[in-house]
Amino acid sequence: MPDFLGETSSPAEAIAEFYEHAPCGYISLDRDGRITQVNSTLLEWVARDRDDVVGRRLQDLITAAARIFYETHCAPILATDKILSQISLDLEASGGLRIPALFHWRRVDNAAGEHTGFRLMIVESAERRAYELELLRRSRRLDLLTRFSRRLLDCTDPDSEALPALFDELRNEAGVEGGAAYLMEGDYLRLTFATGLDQGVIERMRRLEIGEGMSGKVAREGQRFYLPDRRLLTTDLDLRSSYNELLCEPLIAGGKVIGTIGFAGNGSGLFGEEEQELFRLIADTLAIARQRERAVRHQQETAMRLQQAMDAAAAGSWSTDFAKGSTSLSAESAVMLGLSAQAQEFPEEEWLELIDRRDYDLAWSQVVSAREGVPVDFSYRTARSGGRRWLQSLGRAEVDPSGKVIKIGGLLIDVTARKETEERERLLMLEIDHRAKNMLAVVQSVVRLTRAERIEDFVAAVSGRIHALSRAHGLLAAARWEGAELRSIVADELEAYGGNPCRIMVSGPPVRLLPAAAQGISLVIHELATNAAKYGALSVPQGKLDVKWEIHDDADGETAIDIVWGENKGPQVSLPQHRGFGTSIIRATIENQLGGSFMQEWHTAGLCCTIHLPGTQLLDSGTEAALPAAAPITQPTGLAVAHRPERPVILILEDEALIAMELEDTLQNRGFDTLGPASSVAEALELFDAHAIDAAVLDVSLHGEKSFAVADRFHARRIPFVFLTGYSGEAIPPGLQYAKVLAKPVSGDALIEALRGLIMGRG
Amino acid sequence: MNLSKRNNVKITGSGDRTIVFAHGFGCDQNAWGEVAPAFAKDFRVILFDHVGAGGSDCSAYDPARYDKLQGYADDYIDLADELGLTGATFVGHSVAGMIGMLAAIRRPDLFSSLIMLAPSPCYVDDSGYRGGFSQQDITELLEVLESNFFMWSRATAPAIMGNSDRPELGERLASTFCRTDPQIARHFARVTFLSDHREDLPLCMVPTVVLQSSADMIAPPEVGAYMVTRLPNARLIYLTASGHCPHMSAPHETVATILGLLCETYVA
Repeated sequence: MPDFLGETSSPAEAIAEFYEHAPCGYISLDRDGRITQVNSTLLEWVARDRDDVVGRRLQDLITAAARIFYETHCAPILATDKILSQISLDLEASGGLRIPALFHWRRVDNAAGEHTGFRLMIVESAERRAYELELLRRSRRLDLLTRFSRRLLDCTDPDSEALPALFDELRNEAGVEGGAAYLMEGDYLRLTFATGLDQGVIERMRRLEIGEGMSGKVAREGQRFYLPDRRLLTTDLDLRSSYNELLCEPLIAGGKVIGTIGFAGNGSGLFGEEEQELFRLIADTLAIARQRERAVRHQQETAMRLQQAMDAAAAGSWSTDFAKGSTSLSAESAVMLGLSAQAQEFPEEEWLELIDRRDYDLAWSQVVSAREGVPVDFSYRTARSGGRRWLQSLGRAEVDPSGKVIKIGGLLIDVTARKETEERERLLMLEIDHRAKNMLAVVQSVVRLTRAERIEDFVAAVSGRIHALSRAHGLLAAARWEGAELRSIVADELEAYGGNPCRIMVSGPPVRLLPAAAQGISLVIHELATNAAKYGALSVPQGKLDVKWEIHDDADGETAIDIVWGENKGPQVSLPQHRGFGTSIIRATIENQLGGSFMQEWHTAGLCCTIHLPGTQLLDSGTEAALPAAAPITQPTGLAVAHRPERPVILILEDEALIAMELEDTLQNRGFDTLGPASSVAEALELFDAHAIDAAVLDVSLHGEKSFAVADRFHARRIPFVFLTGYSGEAIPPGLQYAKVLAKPVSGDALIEALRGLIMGRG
Repeated sequence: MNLSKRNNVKITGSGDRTIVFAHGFGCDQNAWGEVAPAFAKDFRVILFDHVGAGGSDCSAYDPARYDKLQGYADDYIDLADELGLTGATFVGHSVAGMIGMLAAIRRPDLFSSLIMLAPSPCYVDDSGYRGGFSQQDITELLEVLESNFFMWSRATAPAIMGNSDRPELGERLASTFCRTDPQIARHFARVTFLSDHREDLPLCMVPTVVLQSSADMIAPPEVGAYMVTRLPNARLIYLTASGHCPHMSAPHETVATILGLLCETYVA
């Protein structure tokens, strides 16, 4: 047998020698746990004599902590099990020195299987323990970082929810006793967290300029600052806390410093490489969390602002996903489109069905261009509101990396109120334009139609008539073109003659006339007053005038008003030789334009006129301005003229009496016969049916109606016509858009040229 | 919550009287494996694990609740109420002796008597009091725990458990250590060994017996003596068995002593 232990030894001696000086400790215990045998190696380790050890217990050779572990963990196991290995405990030498070791137990049973004791092998494991501690520390720090990250992920505010626990752990783990975190707020640093610092110090730390103090310096330089010991500080850095050892890390996100985190302790040079690495990892983790927090806050704020904006604008959202082929609506949008108040999703094209037919083409063209990336911006009427509700749709395309539009989405805003306002404003503008143009045309007519021997008389007559129109205009404007008080109209016109209050009497119930009637009556009163001043009661000092009116139901049971103009004590009057412009104007106005009747009687006491107006001319009569469907044609001027083939017959449809008269005048003087003038659609159609007509002059806007129905009939019979309009941009229906449109006031030449062209062209 | 499940309650035996065995730090109810069966013939025997130990529901472990031994005592009160236990004999080993005492102070009706095996009201030395350990020792204990749990849980345990010659060892380790979360074990260790219930001793009116083994390095004889002088209704019985776990190292003597005490009270 090869002697591997020593040349001179017997095997027994060799084994004994090996037992004594083996590179591990051996202990034998009796059943009760008392030491019966121990080898020299172990005795050396614990620095005790054999006599001092034998008879004691293992517990006497290990540290108190090891003792507790042995009693609570090892002994229970050894009560039943034969082997217990690799227990890591510290031996304690008599001088107090500790030897980390691994303990291995094996129970000893006798031949009968009875438990007689234990054998114990103890392997020194200082180095292994060092690794183990290192591993342990690393694993603890990894756990610490993991817990920190998890807390950061779970929390909404790192400063109050994650950092306090982190610093609690760092106290045990790395001797960190204080700390502070800053956030960059524009051009300064704001303290968001502090621990282990006096209130007074915190007050001085709340706000730091960039470059101020340790954190300010780190924020400016974007680099770690480590001061192992305060006494080593050579610069004049203003340190706010009194800790001896300080370390500060910048929080960097997206290449920019967004804050700092500082660690402080009262050791000196204790923050070694590992701690610094730990702090760096903490700073990195916190920076990510801060960035995420910012992003989340930004996202929330954006979402909130969007919601607020949407609420404020009464807006909803929509999106069309081309890949899915579906359109989604928010609950608000659904309500606006007339659906139930909940978010909706349906096939893409069904969205179009919610749009009023009139706007369908526009919507379709928007969708087509949106697919090419053009922003959506258009307004449409909704089908379910019957076209009353207007929505504005604003949207942007979303493109995939290849540039293909995959989605469009945006807002829906209810613009009904805005559209209504716009429409009202548009109508008002047109109305103003129309009235101004019409007024010019009326003035033109007044000038053309006024006859006078002398230029002074001509000027006086024209200016008197224009003033009358102007006064009516003023009254109407004051009443926002709703109507004018009859008493005001009369009083205004007679004001110039009313020097003596007893001379002119005006009486009657309050009555408001619609704008056209107000203008007309104003002109009529003016003509009557002028006449009275020239030839009648107002031409002599003792003459009297009594204007009164009453409202009553006429024979048909319709409300009507009679205005009676009674002159008294004037000079002897007689039937005039010819009907002057004044009378023509009165008749045209009352009978053609206003659908009433005019009667004059010459009594010896003076002229007495009765103006009868239908109730429809009254603002308060309940019916709007439309003329009676079949207004009596009381002055069939056109009918009186026999049709001569060489003179083409022109139908005149014009509700403004003066303009109609002027048109008649112009046409008759330039080689045409005229039919009418008609002042309503019904009247014109009646004439159309009853007469052969070569062409027509059609005013577009009659009181409350359009002349398109008449134009359609002419068009159908291929009889030419021209439109006259005071509106600029009057909407002519598509079927009539070829028609010639002349703007008021129209010159006689232009009208004649247009009509000749049409009639020739037709021929 | 089903408390029986939470505390892994095992009920065996039958009888008019009930005996409850509560394990101490580092073990679970298996520690009573050689003791409890001896009582099944004449008693209803109840075994359970503290929350965080053995087969208990570790998800019920709330560090705040178990930051004091009172948390474990309240658990027992709730459990006893759920099981309808009144007038039971409560045998608590080591820290469970104190847990039983805290429960008995609050709810004496649940107890007929308390038997404390190797108890200590305070493990750390104090002026005029010798618990056997310093604060530093307890800090080191946590390190020892960590070191050994570390080894077992991360490196050696699989090797041991893979040892087909010693399947029972693997099983044992698995049941007593691996199933104990190291964090919980550390916490329980700190709560146990830093607890100080000396002030509570005079409040316990339930008849109490302290069983003091010889050579108990954790609850030395002077601690047992200290306890019975403070407990109003207690006596001290010395066991010949040595060590902190006589119920494991000397189950026969432990059973005989407890049975003797029960017969005594029964006769009385």
